[in-house]
Order: sequence, then C-alpha cells, then structure tokens
Amino acid sequence: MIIPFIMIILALISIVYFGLEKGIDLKGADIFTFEAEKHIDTSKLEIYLEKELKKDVEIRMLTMGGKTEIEVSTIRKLRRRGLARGQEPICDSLIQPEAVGPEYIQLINKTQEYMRAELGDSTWSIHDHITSQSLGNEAEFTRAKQFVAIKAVCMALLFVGGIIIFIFLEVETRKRIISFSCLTGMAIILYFSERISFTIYNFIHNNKFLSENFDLSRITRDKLQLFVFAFFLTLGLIIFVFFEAVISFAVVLAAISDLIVTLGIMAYLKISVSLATIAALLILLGYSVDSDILLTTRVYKMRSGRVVDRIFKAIPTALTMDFTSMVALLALLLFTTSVILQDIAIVLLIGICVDFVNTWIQNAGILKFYLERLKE
Amino acid sequence: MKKLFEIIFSTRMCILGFCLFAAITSLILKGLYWGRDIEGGRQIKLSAVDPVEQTQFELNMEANKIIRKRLDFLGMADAKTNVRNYGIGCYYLEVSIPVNIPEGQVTNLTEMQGQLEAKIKDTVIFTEVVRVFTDPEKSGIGRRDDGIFEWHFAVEISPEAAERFKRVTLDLKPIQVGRETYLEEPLVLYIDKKNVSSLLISADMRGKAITIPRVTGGANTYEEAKNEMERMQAILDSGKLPMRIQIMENKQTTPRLGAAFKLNILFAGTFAILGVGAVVLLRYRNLKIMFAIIFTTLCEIILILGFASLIKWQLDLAALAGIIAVIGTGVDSQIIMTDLILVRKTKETEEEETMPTLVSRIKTAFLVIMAAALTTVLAMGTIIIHQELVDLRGFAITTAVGVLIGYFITRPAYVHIIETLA
Repeated sequence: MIIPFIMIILALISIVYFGLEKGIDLKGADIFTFEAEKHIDTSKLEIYLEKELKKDVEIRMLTMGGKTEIEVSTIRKLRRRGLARGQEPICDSLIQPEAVGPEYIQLINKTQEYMRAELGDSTWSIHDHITSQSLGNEAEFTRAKQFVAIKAVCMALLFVGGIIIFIFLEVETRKRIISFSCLTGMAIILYFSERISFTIYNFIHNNKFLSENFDLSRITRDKLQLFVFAFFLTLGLIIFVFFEAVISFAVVLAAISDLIVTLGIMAYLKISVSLATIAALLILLGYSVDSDILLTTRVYKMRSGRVVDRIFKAIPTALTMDFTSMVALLALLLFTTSVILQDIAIVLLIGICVDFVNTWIQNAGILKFYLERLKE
Repeated sequence: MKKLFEIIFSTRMCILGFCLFAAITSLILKGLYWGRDIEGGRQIKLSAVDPVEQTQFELNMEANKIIRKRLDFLGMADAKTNVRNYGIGCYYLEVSIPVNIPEGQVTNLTEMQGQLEAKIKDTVIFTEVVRVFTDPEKSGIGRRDDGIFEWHFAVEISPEAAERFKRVTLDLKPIQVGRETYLEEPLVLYIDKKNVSSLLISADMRGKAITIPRVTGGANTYEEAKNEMERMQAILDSGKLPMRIQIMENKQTTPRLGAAFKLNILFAGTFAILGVGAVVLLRYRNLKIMFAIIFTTLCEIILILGFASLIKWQLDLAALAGIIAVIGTGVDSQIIMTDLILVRKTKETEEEETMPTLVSRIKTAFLVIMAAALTTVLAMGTIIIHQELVDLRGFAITTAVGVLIGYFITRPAYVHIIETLA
C-alpha cells in the first residue's frame, strides 16, 4: 500500500528537481536533419556552430540502414507578436528567398559552411536536408499550445471521473446521473476556460463584462486560466467526496498517479514533454482505466469468495494484457526509425509498468480496505 | 467444419464481413493517403504581424482566399489552406503543400503582402491589374546577348490607369539609349514598397493609352527566371493580402524518407502482431484462440485503414501511432473477454454460482470494455475539438475511430467466435 505513495512523492521530487523538459513543438526551435555520406565528427561541428551562433546547439546522430542522419537543433528565443510600428516584417523580400527567419537561415548556412570545409566539396548542399522545422516564431501560439495540452489532460480526467462514477457509484441511478452530468458539465466548462478567464480579467480591469478588446496581457490571463483549471479539478474531487464514491475515486486516483509517476520518470530520463508524449499520456489514461475497471468489476461486481482471492484471480488477465501491449510497443520501439514514434513507445512502456504497480497495489489496496470495512 | 459454418453464418460475422468488404474495396479503389511527415511536403503556419489586425476573422479568411489563389496559379491545387484559431480572437493560417517545394518559392508567396504600385517619377499609375497573361504569346523567357535570362509577361490594366499613363508620358522627353529611343523616366513596379521591376518605356508609346503593358525582369539562370516570373504572376494575379504576414511555424520533410518508413512500419506492425500472438499462445496454450485474436486485430487494422481512405484522411506519423494504440487496447479487451468467457471451462463451482449464465458474463465484459472505450473516445474528443492541437488530430481520429470500430463491429464478432470455439 505504501509503495505507490512513495512512488508519487519520488516522482514529484523528480519533477521539481530535474524539471520537465519541453519538446521542440512546445518551445521554439530551429531544427533540421540531413544525410551525411562521410563520417562527420559531430562534436567538432557542435563546437563550431556554438562559437559561430553564440547559442546552444544540440546535435544528434541517427544511424539507420547504413545511412547516417545528423540532426541539428537550436532553441529559438520566443518572439512576442507584433513588431514595433514601422519596423519591417521579419522577412518579406524577393532578394532573400530563404525567408524563414534569420536564425534559421544562419543555422543552415553555418552548417553548410562547415560541411563544405570538412568535405572539401564546393557542390555539397544542405538543401538535401531531410526534414526541417522552425517553430516558435510567435510566443503566444507556442504558449497557447502548452495550455491546451494541459487543458486536454484535465478535461480527459474529468470525463474519466464522470464515466467511472456512473458505472461504479454504489447508490441509486438518480444520484449517479447527477454526479455524472456534474463532472461532464465541468469538463465542458473547462473547454471554455479561456473565455471565462478572459471575462474575469476583463471584469477586474475594465469593470465590464463584454468587451472585444483583445489587447490584454496574455500572461495574466494564462495565470487566471490555470486557476480555472485548478478550481474545476478540485470541484471534481469534491464530487467524489460528496457522493462517498470511494471505489470510483480509487480508479481516478490510480489514473492520476500513473500520469504523475510517468511524468516523474520522464523528468529523470530527460524525455521531453512534446505533443507526441502528451498523446502517449492520454493513451496511458485509457490503458490505466482499462486495467482498473477490470480489477474493480472482478472484485466489486462479482461478490464471491474473499476479496484477496478475487484480486489474485484477476491478475493473470491483467498480466497478459500488459505483456501483449508491451510486446507491441517494443516492436514499435525497435523497428521504427521515427523519433516521435519511439518517444511514444518509451513513454507508454514506462506507463504500463507504473500502471501495474498502481492498479494492483494502490487501487487493489484501497478496494480491499474499503470492502472489508463495508462488511463489518 | 460444422463449427466453422456456425462461426461464419451469423449476423455479427456478416456485419464484420460486409464492413471488411467495404474497407478493402475502398483501399483498392482509392488507396491510402499519406501525410506530410511520411510522403514529404511542407506545412506553414502564418499569422498577421500586427496584433490588432489579427483579431479579425474576416481578414484571415480573405488572406486565405488570396493565398489559395496564388497556390492555384502555380499549379499547387493539392495544397490545403485553413484558417484556425488559438485563444480568443487569435487566428492563423495553415498552408499544407503535399509536394516538396523550394523554400523561397512558397515562403515568398505566402509572406509577401503583394501590395503593388506602378509609378512613373512620383505619380502612381496603377495599383492593381485586371488580368495577368500567362499564354506563351504574351509571356516568356528569352536569353539576352549578355547571357542574362530575361522574362516578360503582359498584364491588363484598367482604362483609367491607361489614361493616367497617357497624361504622364506626354510630359516626358525621349532620350537615346543605344539604338533605341526611350522616355527619360522608367515605369517602376513596387511590390511591398520594394523596387522589383524597372521598365524603360519606348518612345513611340509616349502619349498613348496603353492598357496592356509588359512586365519584365532578368535572372542569371533559366530556372531562376522561370521561378521569378511565376512568382510575380501569381502575386500580381491574386492581389494584395489584407495584412502583413509572418511565419509562425515552418515544417518540411523530403519524400525520400517515405518508402523506407512505410517498410519500417510494416515490419513493426508484423512483429507486434506476431509478438502479441506469442504471448496469447503462451497464456492460453490454444492455437484457435490465438488465431481468433490475430484475425480480429487484423480486421480492426483493415477497417481503420479503410475508413481513413474512405474519408480521405491523411495518415501521418501520429495517426500510425494511434493505430498501434488501438491494437494495444483492442487486444486488451479481447483478453478480458476471453478470460470471462472461458471461466465456464474452469472447474470451480464457486464461480459458476456467482456468474450463472454466459450472457451475464459477456455483459460484464462489455461493461468493462464500454467504460474503457468511452474514456478513450472522450479523451480523444478533447484533442479533436482543440484547434491548437491540430498536429495531433490524426492520432486522435484514428484512435477514436479504432476504438468505436472495435466496440461496435469487431468485438461482437470476436465474442461470437470465442463462444462457438469454447
């Protein structure tokens, strides 16, 4: 019983201590990959680029099928929207065709210079690059993405709570429907959280509710939005307490601890939180609920024998489920070359291991405790 | 043999068969559509430079139309443009081009506002053109004696502009340049306040109302000249963007990756299914169950792919990840059901008492699966409704569709197979 809670605390410490690294799509970055025919000393290239560009450059080598791909990336300083009046837009000339922002062009040009010097080939061109991305030209868009990612996870959690409470709440149907609609309603309100925080902000600052003046401090609004998230999540928790929904709460708790512990391990392993890994976390939510519901139906809905026996009977099914998922994910990890898919696979593999502990120790423990007290 | 007939001739199997047939037909007839990060291509997200202007939806829609026109003009009809929003009142334009195009070509098309001004001295002659000619008679590229490639095309301007041209040129003196006689001031074209083309006016045009002037320019190579000409034509033809625009995100992938990547995914998929089969075989020690699970999983994959090709959904990396996630949850629920149905076979009478009928066991199994399916679909729904997460939309749609297909089509069929086998 104590292990999952230690895990959560360790995970929280890890998140605070190591910090979560944001993926390139959640922070600005210039990145491109090119194929190298000859062997290249990447550390030299890195030193050269860092000296020339005066900022951190990260270089990764990806080898597959005899080919070497080199990925060069730099973090981009987020640029706030709106240039000063009269200032020229970043790039709008016919003269400079590579118009993706000066930082990006500089990165490509410098790499090309180095490669030409190294290979001694004047025709070598970086335009053979395989992928190129330049993100985060606009700070607000990037920040909006981060927020929506948090929002999506919060909404998903509320939905999960609603469904679980509907299935497992040990009271009459009327109460179940009320609590279900409360939680789902909250998830829907959360969807409009930006509008709400905008209205509140407007009310505080301008003393009126309806204003179409959008030129407001985004940062203050973002902070307000976080409060709105927290407020509705707490309300959701209160519903569980109010309806004495211990069993449903155990399921939701297991799902939340899965997320937290997985994030903690990701922070420790320096796996970045990108849109891809957030997708993985949402799938993990599904997996987690799958195994938790399996446990709860076996233990709670089929009342025969001792509680512990029922728990142990459900374990082989769960183990098979976990193993099949892990085998599929291992195949994905080993046989694909895409960094995105590999990240998803790694996060899910970690998550499934964490989920096993959380379901069969934490959730089962709470269930056992509750059902045995219920009998007395 | 009798069992096989029993399995095949049932309502659930017929539904599955029908759906499979539809999916395979669609796959054969239409094929699959691959996304940018597999097939190669470019995606650009653009936003207005001035924040105040950005708040207006109509402006973005108008800009969308103009960029669309420019892309069509260059024969990129496959390109997709969308207006999306993030936050309140913030809109951005998303341009996806399926083929790989040189960086300058596209960025200039989309970034340039295209504000045109044609001036002689300081008098504005025209600011928009009625028509741009692209036929070989009125446009073309030629090579000059000094090796520079010269491009030219004709544009039609309004009668008022022609009248203005007549009035202004009357005051100009002719001068001798080489063998030709030109007027002393050239007609200068400015796009976005930058001099792009300076045209000498031949002396015999003086005082005439010309409605079809020629735009010319030069470049060092044929390719450059052609690109420049097409770009100018596209920009002049589409008119001016309602606001200044900048690039927020720019992503590009070459198509070279595609073939190798598809092979990789095929490998990964095959090994995943084989691995799942092996684990199932180890657990149940029953070949029939293993084949049933593999068959159902394959059906699920075909149905998802069929659906994707039916709605012309572009499969990108994230969508493939979604398919793999669906396989995972699909196999999970098949295992839950197998275990619950096979309970009958175990000798423990205790269980028999609590769960007397097969029907109630299947009901319980479906309850578990329904809860998991609903959770996944709703979680994916949260991704789909947020426009900021449009990069994950492929993932969310394949996962949600996969889960729904699993719940309504393949799983009932699987239950039927297992019931008959067990």
